[in-house]
Amino acid sequence: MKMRCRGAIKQIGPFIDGELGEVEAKAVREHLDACEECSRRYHYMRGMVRQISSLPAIVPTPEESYRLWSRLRREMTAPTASKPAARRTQLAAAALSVLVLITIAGVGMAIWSGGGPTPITEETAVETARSGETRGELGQESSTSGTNAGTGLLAAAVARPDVVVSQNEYDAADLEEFRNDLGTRLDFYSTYWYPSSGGTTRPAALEKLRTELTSDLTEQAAAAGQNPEELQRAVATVMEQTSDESILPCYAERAKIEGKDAWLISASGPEDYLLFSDQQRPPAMILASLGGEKSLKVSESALKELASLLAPSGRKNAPLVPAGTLQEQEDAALDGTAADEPAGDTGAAEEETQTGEGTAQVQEDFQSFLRRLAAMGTSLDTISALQELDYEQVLQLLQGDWGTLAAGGVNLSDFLTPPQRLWAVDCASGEIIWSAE
Amino acid sequence: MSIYDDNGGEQDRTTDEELVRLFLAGDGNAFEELVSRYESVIMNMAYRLLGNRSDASDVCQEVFVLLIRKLGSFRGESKFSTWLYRVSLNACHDYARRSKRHVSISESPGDDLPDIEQRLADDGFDSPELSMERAEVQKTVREAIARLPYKFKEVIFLHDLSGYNYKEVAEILGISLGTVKSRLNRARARLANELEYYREQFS
Repeated sequence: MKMRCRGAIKQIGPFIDGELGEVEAKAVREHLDACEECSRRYHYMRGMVRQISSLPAIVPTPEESYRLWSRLRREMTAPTASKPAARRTQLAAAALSVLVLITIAGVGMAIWSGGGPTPITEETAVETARSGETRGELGQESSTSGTNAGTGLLAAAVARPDVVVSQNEYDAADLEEFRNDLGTRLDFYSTYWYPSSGGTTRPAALEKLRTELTSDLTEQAAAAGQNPEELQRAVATVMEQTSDESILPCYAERAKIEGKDAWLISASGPEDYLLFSDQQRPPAMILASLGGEKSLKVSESALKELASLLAPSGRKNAPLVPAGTLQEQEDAALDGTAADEPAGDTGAAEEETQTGEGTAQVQEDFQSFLRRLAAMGTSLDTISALQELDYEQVLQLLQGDWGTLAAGGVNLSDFLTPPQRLWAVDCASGEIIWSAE
Repeated sequence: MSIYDDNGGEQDRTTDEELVRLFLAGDGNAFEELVSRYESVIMNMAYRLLGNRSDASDVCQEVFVLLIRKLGSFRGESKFSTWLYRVSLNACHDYARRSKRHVSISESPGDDLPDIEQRLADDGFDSPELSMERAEVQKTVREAIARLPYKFKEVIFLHDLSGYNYKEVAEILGISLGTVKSRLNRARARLANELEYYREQFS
C-alpha cells in the first residue's frame, strides 16, 4: 500500500532519527522518492535537526563552578578526607561560613588603605559569629596552636605560620601559579586582619607580631631539620625588601627554584580579605582562577574613558543603564559593530549635558563603551559591576581609594584581584631570586 | 551520538553506580567525581530548558544539593544517569514554574507564551573563529528552542541535543514511546515554522 503525504509527514521525524522498522522505513523512502513536496520537507527537517544537534554545549564558567562547589561544601557537613589539604579546605570553608554574617566590604577594607595600617572607622560594627572570641586588636595576642582546627569555628586559633619542606622543583611559571600558601593566608586573614578591623592596627603591634611569627617559622624550620638561621635571614631579607609594612610572614617552603636551593616566603596582608569577599566561592578557587593577573580587572585607560563618559551626566548613584541590557550589548558585539566604534567620541555628549538628547547620547556612548569592553574579553560580571558605578566611584577606582568605595557598598572583588605575595630567596647567596611583585 | 561527555564508556573508568555506592559509604571524592562528570550536562539541560544562564546555574546547584540528599534513595533499578536526568528535569520544571509565578506578579506579559519561554538565551560569546553567519544561525535556533513550550523543550533536549533514543527519552520522562514521537514531531514542526527563513540553508 502506498503511503500518503499525511502519513509520511508523521514518519519523517522517526525516519530521520532511525526509529523506524525496516518495512516502515522502506515505505517512507519510497514516498520520498515519489513526492517532491515531502522530499523537500524531509531535507529541510533533516538539516534543521542537524543544526539543532550541532548547537554548541555551554561550558560552566569557573565562577559557576565555584558557586556550585561552595553550595555543595555547605551541604556536605561530614568531613570527607583526612588529608591536610582537605582539612585546609574544610577549614577555609568553615572560616567562610563564619564570615558570611558580616559585610566584608565594610569591615575588611577599612583597614586597607594606602601602604600601611591605619585606624578603622569607628562605626565598623563587627558582629561576629566567633563564639565570643575577641581579638580586638592586632598583635594583642599571639597565635595559638592549631589543635582545634577540626571545629572550624576556631579558625582564628590555628593561624600559625606554616613551614613546609617539599624540595619541589619550581620554575618561574610554577611560581606564578603557586597556591600552596593560600590556606595559611586565609587563616591569617581570619586571625589577624579581620578581627583587627574592629580596633586599630598599630605599627608597633605589627612589628612585634612579625618578630613572633618569624621566630615561630624558624623554630618550625629547626624542628624540620632545616637551618633556622637561614630561614630567619630569608624572612628578614623579604621583609626589608618590601615597601609594604602591613604584611606578615605566613608561609615558608623549602624548595628548589630553577635548580637552586631556596626558601619560598609568602606573606599575608589585609587585602587577603579579597579571598573572602565573595562568600559564594570557595576561596581556594578564587585565587586559582586569578592566574597571574593582579590588581585592577579593568584597564586604567578604560576607566579613564568611563570617567569622561560619566562626567557630563553628573548624576550620582544613578546607574545609566538599566540592568538586563547586557544581552543586547552582547548581541551587538556579536554582530561586529562594537569594535568599529570610535573610541573618544564623547565631546558631543559633554556639550549637551542637560538636555534629554544629551542623556540619550551619553547612554549610547556608554553602551558602546560596554560593548567594546565585552568584546575585549572583560568578564560580564565586571561589566555589570561597572554599570553600577557613578562618576565619583570611577574616580575613586582610578585613584585607588578602596576604603571609600567599600564604604559606599562597592564589592571590590568585582574590580580587584588580590596580589600574590611570594618571594624566593636563594639559600646560598641569601638574595631574592624571584618575586611576584 | 551524544554531544555531552555524560558517560564515555571508557573501560577503566569507575561506573557512576559504583561512585554512588562509594559516596554512600562515605567517600566524598566519589561525589566530587560524579559532580565533575555531570555538572556540564545539568548546566546544559537547565540552560536549554530555562533559557538563561543564571537560572541554569541556580538549578544546577539545586540539583546537586538534591543529589546529596536523595542519593540514598537511588536503588540502582535504572541507570544512575537516567535517574539523575529525571531528578534534574523535575528540578528544572519546578524552577520554571516558580519563576513563572514570580515573574507574572511583577510584569504582565501580554502574550500567551509564559515569560520563562520568552527569555533570551545569554550564552556570552561564541568562539571567535565561528563565522558571524554561523553564529547568527545558531543564535536563532537557540532562541527558537527557548521559545518552545516546556514539554517540547524537554524532548528536543533529550533527543536532539543529548542523543538519547526514543525509548530512553520515554524512560527518562516516564511517558510512552508514542508520546515521545508525537511531542518530538510537534516540537520540530514548530521549529520548522519558526526557522522557515533558513529553509534553503538547512536543506
